[in-house]
Amino acid sequence: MPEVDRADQVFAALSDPTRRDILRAVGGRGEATATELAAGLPVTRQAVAKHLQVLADAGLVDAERHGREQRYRLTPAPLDDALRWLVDAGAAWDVRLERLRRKVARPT
Amino acid sequence: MEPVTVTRSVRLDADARRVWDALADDDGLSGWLADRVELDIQPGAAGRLLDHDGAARRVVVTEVAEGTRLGFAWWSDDAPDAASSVVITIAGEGDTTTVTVTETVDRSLLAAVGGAGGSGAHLTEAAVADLLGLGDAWAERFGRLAGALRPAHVLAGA
Repeated sequence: MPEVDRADQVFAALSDPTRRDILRAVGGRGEATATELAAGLPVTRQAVAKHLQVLADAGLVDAERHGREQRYRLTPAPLDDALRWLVDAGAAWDVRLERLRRKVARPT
Repeated sequence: MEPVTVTRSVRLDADARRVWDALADDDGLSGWLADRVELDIQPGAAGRLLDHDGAARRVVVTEVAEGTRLGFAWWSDDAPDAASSVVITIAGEGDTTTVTVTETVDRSLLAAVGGAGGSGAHLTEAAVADLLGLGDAWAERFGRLAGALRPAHVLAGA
């Protein structure tokens, strides 16, 4: 998949607040099934399973079959160049704009 | 040309005049854009930026609209072919001012950026936390806390 398409897919996956909650929950638990995640969230197991599929398609989680259920965990997937640039450049501007904020706040 | 764009905004407790002065007066860019900035704020002016970690960049001013807008192109000494363009806009609203930065790079140049000392970054939990932070801020865009730094939104391939 081209890098920008994958970056789009990752950001699209993360643009949904429920999916961000699910991703946080997966990260917090280490690994989890859709049933376990649904117990802690105000959504159905079916909805959680659909969201997990979007996160898996974006490469953010992967699944391993355990009996009748899939267990999900965060993926140590390589960040593509575009995604890495977006994260790095964004973080650098956060630092610069914080310095600007402090400079503006200083009494002249 | 397939641009990749990152955008950040900050809302500051100061009027636009004061923000422009802090941002772009004689030594204005020094101390916030980089540790040391040798650059005239004039269209076409070329200069140099040095950061505390020793990273050096070349910069060329592309546009100046006194008080409202500053544009430049810059590139790292390590990756002279991978220039990105930056536009900074200043919008005052009474006693508060929103500064918005947009940096754009062509996708085809990113391999060069990544190749300059890039070590296959992985989607670690820290990176996920970072991405989630951006995701939250996406929804919030211009945060209500005056003066608080808010990543505004991130667009890929915009």
